[in-house]
Amino acid sequence: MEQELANLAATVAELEAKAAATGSIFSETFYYLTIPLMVLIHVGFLAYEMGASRSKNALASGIKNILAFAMIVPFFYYVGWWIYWAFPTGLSGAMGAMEISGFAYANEIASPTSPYMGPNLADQASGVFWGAFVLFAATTASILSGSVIERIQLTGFIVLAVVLGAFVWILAAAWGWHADGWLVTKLGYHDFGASGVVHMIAGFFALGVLLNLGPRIGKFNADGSANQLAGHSMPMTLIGLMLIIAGFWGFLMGCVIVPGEAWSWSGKIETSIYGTPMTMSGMTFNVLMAFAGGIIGAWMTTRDPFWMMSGALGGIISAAAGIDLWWPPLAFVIGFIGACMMPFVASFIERMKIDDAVGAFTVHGFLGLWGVIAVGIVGSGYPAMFGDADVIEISLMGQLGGAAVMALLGFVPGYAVSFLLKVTGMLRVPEAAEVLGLDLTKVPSSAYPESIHPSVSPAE
Amino acid sequence: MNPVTAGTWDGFEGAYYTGFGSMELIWLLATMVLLGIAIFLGNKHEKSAYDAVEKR
Repeated sequence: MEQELANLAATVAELEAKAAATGSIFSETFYYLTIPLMVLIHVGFLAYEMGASRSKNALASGIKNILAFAMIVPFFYYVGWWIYWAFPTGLSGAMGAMEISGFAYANEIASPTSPYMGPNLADQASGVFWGAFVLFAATTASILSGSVIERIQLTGFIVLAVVLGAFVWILAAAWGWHADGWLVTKLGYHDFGASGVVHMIAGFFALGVLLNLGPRIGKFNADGSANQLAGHSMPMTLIGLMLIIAGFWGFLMGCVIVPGEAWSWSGKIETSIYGTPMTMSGMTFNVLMAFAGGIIGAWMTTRDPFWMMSGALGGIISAAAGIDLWWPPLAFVIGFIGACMMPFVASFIERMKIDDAVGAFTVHGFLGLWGVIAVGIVGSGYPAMFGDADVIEISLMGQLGGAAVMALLGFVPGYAVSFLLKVTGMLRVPEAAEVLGLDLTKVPSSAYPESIHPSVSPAE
Repeated sequence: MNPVTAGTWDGFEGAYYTGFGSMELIWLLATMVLLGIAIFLGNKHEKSAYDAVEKR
């Protein structure tokens, strides 16, 4: 009998070890797969921005995307990941209630000299989490990238992309996308799919940059009216936008915390980054409904395929902050309303003499804002975190406070850094180069050497 | 608008979406109305575009 019990205990221990190993490999693979899916976002941005550029600038726009992605990777390794864990409670670097934040914690797990920042048999999580966050960071830079095409200097853009991707957005994420984040613990801020911490930050950062960068030559006439500087390939732009949407599934997947690991918030069900329970199944309803609402709303107001595909993106961004909470038809309505507002906001920006080449502020900045506020309007009252009782709740005031922080945290660094670049002559290309085209000036190569797509714009 | 009224997620089971138990029909009807409006206006736009071509 004793021998049988010993055998049974050994079998149970063996099964537990196998189950634990399977769980760890599942979670490691889960986040690993978010990375190639999110690379699709960058494939999409590459095609989208090259298509939205005139043929004389197509490759220069592409180089910007490729290099921004590459530059963010080392800088996020040096400092970005450390910022996320160091500053959730504010700039003091104090540890929060969950004991997963502060300078000491960040130094231990996220400093570039930490043993967790490389191959380590005791750690199956850091690399894949870091990788997913790198891709979030690169997304912010790509959002900026589209708005400034055809006239920004490459090195100036790289500086801006690194500031945004490795410093600014990740500070926003520490504050509003972390269980110890002060926006979460003090205001009940809820931003599951990063409407604020990614889209608002990048959109408002882009707005600050555009004010210093100025419009492309030929965009505005002397009487103040605007010309449409059409890109050379609308089909390429549309395919790019659809690829971004495909990549968004990986982006939203990366916002989920899987259960059952030592670092998980739950032993049995997925949670948000705040530890609140959710299901990927529920999220699936809402992503597709918001996507559909966005396309149909944009079709109704514009009839333009560019805005329809931007509407698809805008619908998801509008619903993203609460995409773990919505009743699916409500996600459709939120996406539809966001997409309907989009062309009017873009027109307003243009009337302000701001040349946002692809509507990045409108789609990401404004609709990110709408998404954050929508959670306050129809999602108030939910506990904003996990905990036994009397947990701080989501509220309209909390969402408005979070939105104000995101707007300022995006806009001020964007404006300040681009102003410094402007003063030092690193922001804008010379007029002659802009007129000749950036591909011939500096790439040096031609997207279409047989000249099948000559540019015919006022800036020729 | 939300069914999680105990001040905590602890012990909560089942559907937790916004408007659970009270607002489903309203939001469902709202989507149908918006779709109806979008299709109606789409048809109107398309018809006027074809009419304009015929008048040329």
